[in-house]
Order: sequence, then C-alpha cells, then structure tokens
Amino acid sequence: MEQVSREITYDAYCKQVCSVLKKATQKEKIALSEELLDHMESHAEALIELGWDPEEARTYAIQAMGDAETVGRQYDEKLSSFWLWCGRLLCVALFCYVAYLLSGPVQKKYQAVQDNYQARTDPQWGINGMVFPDRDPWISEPVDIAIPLGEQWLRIYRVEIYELPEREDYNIAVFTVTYADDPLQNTSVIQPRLEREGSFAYNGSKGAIYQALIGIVEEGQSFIGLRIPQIGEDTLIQIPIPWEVTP
Amino acid sequence: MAKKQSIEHTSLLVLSLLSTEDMYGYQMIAELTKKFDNTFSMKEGTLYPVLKGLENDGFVEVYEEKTESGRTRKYYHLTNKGRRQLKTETETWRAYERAINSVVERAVYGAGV
Repeated sequence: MEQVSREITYDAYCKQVCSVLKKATQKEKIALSEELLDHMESHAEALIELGWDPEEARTYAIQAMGDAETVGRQYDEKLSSFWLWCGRLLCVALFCYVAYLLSGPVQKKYQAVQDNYQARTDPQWGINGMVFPDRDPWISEPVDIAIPLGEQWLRIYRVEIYELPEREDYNIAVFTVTYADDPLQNTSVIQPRLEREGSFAYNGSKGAIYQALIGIVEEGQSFIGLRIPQIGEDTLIQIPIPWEVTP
Repeated sequence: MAKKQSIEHTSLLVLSLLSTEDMYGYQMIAELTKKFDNTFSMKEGTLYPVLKGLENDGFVEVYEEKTESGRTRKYYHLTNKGRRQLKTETETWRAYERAINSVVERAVYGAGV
C-alpha cells in the first residue's frame, strides 16, 4: 500500500511538471520525469538514512522540489521550438495529404448523390438524342412510370418512336433511369429487356444509371412488354405506346 | 546562525561543482547544501532548467548510468567550453565581489579605512 502511495505521489509531481511543457517531445518528457523521480527518491533515501520516517521523507523530498508548474515553465523556456514546429509542420502536411486522399472519394460520392437527386427530380437530361444521332424521333413523349425494385427504383421517363425506312414497323426507344432509394447508397446495374429488343445503350454513375432500350413495334400496337430481371423471376411491365403527340 | 539566502548564481555554482567531478542532480544539491553549511536554499526542481540551459549552451554533456536499484540516472560532465565559461564567470564574480566588499567595508569601517 505504501509503495503504491509513493509511486502515485512522485508520479503526480512528474506529470504536473510535464503538463506545463509545450515544446517538449514525448521522449524529453519521459527523460525529465525519470530524472526528477531519481532526484526525489535519492533525496528521500538520504533522509531515511538520517533516521527520518519514510513517509515523511518522501513528502519532504517532493516539497523540496518546489512548485511543479514553476519548474515546468522554467524548463520549457530552455527547450528548443524546433521539434515543436517540426511536429506542427508534420501535422499540417499529414492533414493535407489525408485531405488529398479523401478528396477523390468524397468528390465521387458528392457527384453520385447529385446524380441520384437529378434522376429523382428531372431525369429528362439523361441520354436523349444519343440513341440515333442521325435520325430525329417521329414521336417523343415524356412519361413517368416508377417501378420499385427492392432498395432501388427503375423509372421510365420518355418513350420515342422512330420511323424505319421502307418498312412498316417502327423502332421504339424506352428511356429508363435506375437509382437507389437511399441517395447515399450506390446504384447497381439491372438490365431490363424490351420484347423484340434491338439494342440498348446506357451511361451513368454510381448515383444513377440511364439506359435507352431499343425495340421494334408494329403500327397501332398499344403496349410493349418490359422484362425486368429480379431474384427469383422476371417482372413484366406493359408500357403504353404513345402513337399520338400530347398537345 | 546565518540567514538562508536564495542563490542567484546557480549556473556558476553548478559549473564549479562539475569542475571537480561528474555529478547527478541530487548530488549537486547535496553537495551545495554541505558546502554552504545549510545556509544555501533553492527549490531543488529549479536546478533542472539551469542544467538544461547549460546543456543547450554546450557547457555540460549528459550521459546515463543505471543505479544499483535499477533507476536510470543522468550524470553531467563539464566540457572544455564549460571550463572556459567557468573561468570567465569566476572572474566576473570576483570583480563583483570586490566591488561589494569595498562598499560594505567602507560602510562598516568608515571612509578612513
């Protein structure tokens, strides 16, 4: 018990001295603590040899050291600021490096959230005009069909019909966008298919994936089936075909 | 019994002590207490800032040794630069001492002495 008490008291004095040191490195603090500890123990041992009560000797040895904060302040004045500034510069450099490393993923995440928001509010900018760069659509109608797919949404936002030269059937382009329900989550690719599919194109980011599905329809056909692959079985959605332009 | 005095010239005293042998902190305090016949008084912890200053100036060097009880003990050694500094400070101190003595003796024994 006595041993524990002594160590705590000496230790407390050393800690108090070191708490004032602003310019000291950890190594310097440890070295000073060891030196002060040796001093106090040596002093107490000398007093005990003279017949002092051990506890009184230890208490006196600590008191003889003087005010811990004063000792710490005076010692700190003698320390060089070199390592302090080195440490500060290192911290700044480290901060800049970490910020640089984080800036890439953070920017990507920010872009993904922005894309997700865009897909929810105004998906029309998606990939219009990218399907047949050399042909204008005969009919181009905005639609808004939102299909929940677990933690994602598939939204159909535009249908376009293109005439095919010297043929009686038509190309149909169904524009979709997929985005996560939680804007902070990444969107995973799903591949819906049109019945009588021709091809598809897509672009997007982790925030939203735009797809243009190309198929073939007969004149007057009311619906075209859209098959959405899901775990277990596919879901079939019938999309109305707009043969007339909405005024 | 002489009144205890606070010593202002700790650096000079430390350099003087180290001119005879390498010492550790508490040993210097014990030696000063013995030499001054208990008229010396200083807060012992304030010795270490003085020692650090002397080390920074290159007047003393530090090395470590293990004590019998296993503690790490720092010993201070006077360098050649420290010896030259001791000589300079001793001369300064003696000039100061002569000036003080002349004033005090004049006051005690009168202008005719």
